[in-house]
Amino acid sequence: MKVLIIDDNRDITDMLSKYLKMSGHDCATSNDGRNALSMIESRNHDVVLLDLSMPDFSGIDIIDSLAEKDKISNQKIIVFTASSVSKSEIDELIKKGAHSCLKKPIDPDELVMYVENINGQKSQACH
Amino acid sequence: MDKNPKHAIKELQQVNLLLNKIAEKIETKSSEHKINELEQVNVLAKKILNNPPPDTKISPIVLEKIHNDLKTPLTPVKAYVQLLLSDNFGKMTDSQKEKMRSISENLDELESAIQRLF
Repeated sequence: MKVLIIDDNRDITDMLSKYLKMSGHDCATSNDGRNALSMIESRNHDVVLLDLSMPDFSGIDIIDSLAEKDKISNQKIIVFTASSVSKSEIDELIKKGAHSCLKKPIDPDELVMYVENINGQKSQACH
Repeated sequence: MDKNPKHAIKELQQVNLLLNKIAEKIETKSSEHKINELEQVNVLAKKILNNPPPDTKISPIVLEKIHNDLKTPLTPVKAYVQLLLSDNFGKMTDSQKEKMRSISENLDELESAIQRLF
């Protein structure tokens, strides 16, 4: 699968990309929200792992922007966050088109399995 | 959304989990692949080393846990490097040994940096 990893923490994008590639997947990464938005819009991926709390242009801004431009449907965007977001905030993001939410830290093997089975997963709030 | 110490800790824990899993996967590879993979991880580890986390107020208990979590994956990686240098997985070329020695030195540096940080 082609996975787009978006996180301002370069250590996470580098390590996660490395691990996903070792697990047999293609990866692209972005550490900047605005750059990430154009990458998502290009639809050159199967799944997006999106960090919420990025400076300047956050994951929430990205989802809002995609929803406004009607470019979020059929995208598998998994919100992947260490932030303490409320259930209602996550429900709101899913309502706008995010697929689901995973909380950091997560076992990398669980993350890989979740990504690989994304097409069979129902859209739902944080795991 | 402001990042707080808990957020920083969770992100560090995530990086640590990934480092552990990458080390596990490297263990299953052949000598040739091990060297290539260790070189790549070495580059990533150096980047982490050169970008220490911002100052945050973290309790001593949590600091100790993070210290142990960071040090733990280094042990098997260092052990494997020494085994490779000792030709335990087949004779290495001089060029390969030179790369492995560089990795070994950087691992020692990483270990020292972790000690200094905590």
